[in-house]
Amino acid sequence: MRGRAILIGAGLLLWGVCTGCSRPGTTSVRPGVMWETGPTETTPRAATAAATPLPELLPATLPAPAPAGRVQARVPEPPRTYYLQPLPPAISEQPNPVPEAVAPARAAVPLERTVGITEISGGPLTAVPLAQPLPPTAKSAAPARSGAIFWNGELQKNQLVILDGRLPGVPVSIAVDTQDYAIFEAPSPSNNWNRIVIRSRFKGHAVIRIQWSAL
Amino acid sequence: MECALKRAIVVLMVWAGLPLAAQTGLTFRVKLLSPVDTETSKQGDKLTAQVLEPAQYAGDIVEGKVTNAHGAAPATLNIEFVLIHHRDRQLGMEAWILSVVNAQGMPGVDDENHKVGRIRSGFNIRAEIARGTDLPRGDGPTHGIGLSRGIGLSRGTDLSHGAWLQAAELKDIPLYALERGREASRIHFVAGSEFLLSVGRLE
Repeated sequence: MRGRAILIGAGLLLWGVCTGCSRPGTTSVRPGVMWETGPTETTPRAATAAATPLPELLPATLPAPAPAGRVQARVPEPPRTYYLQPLPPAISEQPNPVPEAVAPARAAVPLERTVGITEISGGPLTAVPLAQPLPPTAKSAAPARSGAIFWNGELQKNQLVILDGRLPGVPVSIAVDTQDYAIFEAPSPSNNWNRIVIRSRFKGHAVIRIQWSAL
Repeated sequence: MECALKRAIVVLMVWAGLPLAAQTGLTFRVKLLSPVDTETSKQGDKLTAQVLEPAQYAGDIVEGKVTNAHGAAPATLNIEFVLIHHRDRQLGMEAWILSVVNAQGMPGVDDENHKVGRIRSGFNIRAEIARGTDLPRGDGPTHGIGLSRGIGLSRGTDLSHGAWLQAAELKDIPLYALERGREASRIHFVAGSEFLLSVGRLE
């Protein structure tokens, strides 16, 4: 009989202890306040919160904030999932190291390069060395296939006009008005396709038009 | 036996992509990359062309020089191709024009529509045409023009008919042009014209 009394007393004591421990938690669980009070009340939990996955939005149908006072004790406890939601202020204090490592790399890369790297890899930016030559953009990928060079000036008969570095440096075919001018030296591999020498047939003001088209 | 051995060596060299040194009878079809005109071109002017055939050399660039250009009637033109860029290497060559196709694809004429062929220097082409000897064949009397492959001609030929001269013989025989049966005063080829070359040396 005495033993039963001891057991009941111990049980009541245990119940009392348990209900006493749960009460402080209910106050901090109120969803409407959670976002505002997080920094002060949940700082001890911030470490565990940072290790959890990135925060998700709370359910749209959050329970209404419980009124303070005695009524609060009668309101059933909200689901435990609310406790597991990390608090945004805690995350901002202890930022995730992964985005922090990526962000400076992005900032160091010029915008043009960033775009190019993104196009190359299609994956993490850090996987592509920055020194790697960028692929030509849509505009630069299509160099001119043909063009024209103009020269004008006073020439003596049989005088040579040497045009260096005016051609694209790739195999080309050349068209010149051969009534008045002759090609003294045509573009060729020997001059890296970058040189053409024209000889004038007449003396006087010359307007030379050289049309080239890549092979 | 010796002939078979030579043929085997040639086949091996072609298979290995090696140039055939000092090979005669080889012909190249090339496309001109820069114009040439007897009115303005002079001896020593440099020009380029791209090889179309044979396939082994297709795409290679050959460099040539004008060896003869005479702008007044009768206009004459001769070009020697002396260098070929083959697989990042430069090979010496000796090649002369056998026949021509202008940039519009018309064989035997230049870009002024002048009929172009080989003629021995000093040959009176008008008189020969009047006598109907446009393309002499057979075993008639020759006047110093060497022949090969059994095609005979006596004093001159029009290469648009497919006559075949060896490169060494073409060296001293310039191209000649006719305009309505008369000696033309101009031979003009623009870029895109094609020449059939007889290659006398390639090494």
